Amino acid sequence: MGKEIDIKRMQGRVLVSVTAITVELGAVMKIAKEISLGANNAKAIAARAGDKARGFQPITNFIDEMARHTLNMVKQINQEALNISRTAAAEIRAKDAQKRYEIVLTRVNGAGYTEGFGRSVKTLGQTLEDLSYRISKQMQHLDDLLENINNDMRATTAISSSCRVEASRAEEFSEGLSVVADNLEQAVQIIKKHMKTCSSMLQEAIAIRRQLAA
Amino acid sequence: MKATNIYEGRYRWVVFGRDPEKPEKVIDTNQYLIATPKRALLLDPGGIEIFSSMLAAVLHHVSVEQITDIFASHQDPDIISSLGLWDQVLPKAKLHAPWLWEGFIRHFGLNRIEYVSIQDEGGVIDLGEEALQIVPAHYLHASGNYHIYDPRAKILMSGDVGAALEAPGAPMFVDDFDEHIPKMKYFHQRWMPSNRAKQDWIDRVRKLDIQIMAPQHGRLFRGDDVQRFLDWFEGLDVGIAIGKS
Repeated sequence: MGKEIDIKRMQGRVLVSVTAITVELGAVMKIAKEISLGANNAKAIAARAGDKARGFQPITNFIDEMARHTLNMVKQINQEALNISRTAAAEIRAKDAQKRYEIVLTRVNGAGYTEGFGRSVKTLGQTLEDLSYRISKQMQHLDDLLENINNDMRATTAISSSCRVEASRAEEFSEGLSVVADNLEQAVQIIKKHMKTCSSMLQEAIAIRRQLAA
Repeated sequence: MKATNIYEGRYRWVVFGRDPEKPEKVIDTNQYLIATPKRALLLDPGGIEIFSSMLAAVLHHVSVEQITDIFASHQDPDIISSLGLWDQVLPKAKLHAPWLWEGFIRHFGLNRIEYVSIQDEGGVIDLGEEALQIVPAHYLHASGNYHIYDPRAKILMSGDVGAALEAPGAPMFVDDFDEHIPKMKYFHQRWMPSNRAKQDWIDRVRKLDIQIMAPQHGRLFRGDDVQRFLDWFEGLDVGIAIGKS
């Protein structure tokens, strides 16, 4: 009984971990929207600065594009985390059914109508295999998406440095553009932190699944 | 789980209950099976916790392919929370249940089984051998609620009406009506909300020829005890929690 409760807790933990990723992403989405607003603000300053911020103007376009791309990536990650959550819930339910079917099998000695039920047991076994395979694929896909967004953030860190250099050349507009560079750098750090948490939760879920499989 | 034949003719009625494997705090329930040579109907098949015992008991009588129909008198968990498990095990079945509760009952998990909505006025479930009547029992206790009447077997499956809270392993039939009253009085007074609904149901049921009244909890009534129950229920004041808050 104790072992069974532990397994149920572990299955529940997988479900909670992947679902919690969507909560983290809510914060990232908010930051990405703020970056997009910041990019519009920077565009306005750069336009006013004219030639003094010539090097800054293409960077603002990049920041805007990056914000949109991040939002799009976060939506994909969110969708995949939800997919895993749903598959994990279906797996828990199917495992519960399997456990109950096993009890039925121990009690039907002498019953004359078990053939069809035997087929249901086999079908359920196949369903469980399919669900397990699907979760593994979905987890791998989510891991790839998280890796992609981390790479994007590394690229954005480099851009925020260029941003700072260009801001320093913009004379009286330097201060306003430096704020843009600061905000971008800060936003990247926060997104990285949230992504790290997402990765940890995913790795925890993967590790628990490995344990359950063993 | 104990299985008792309560009618044998061209088809059978079987009641399942008194499950010794049931967790202690889970209320004991009666599940019913009507098995014709080709098809079978499960009436209020029960909750998740008794699913294994129930299916194991059912397989002594019919195959999963034979179970073509399920009836849920209302939406309560002890009636139909096992639906998600039946849904995975029955290859082709219909669930006859109140239209009012469809969106709620689907939360138990329904992918393969077809939901057949029962309208307020009731209807029939035709198993080929016999057309079973779906008798409205709204507000007894759920706001969308039905019972099943079999005119050939003269059995009324009466859901929560006639239910009693019994000690584990109680006999399947009432043998002393007066002694049985204390076991069902509070249940009816507290769970049934409306004297008007109660009277409406009694007026309808008195027109039926009933040999066995088969509730979802406790013992079944047979012969004169059916009329005794209707008389007793008619005089009972229900909905007693009003004014307690």
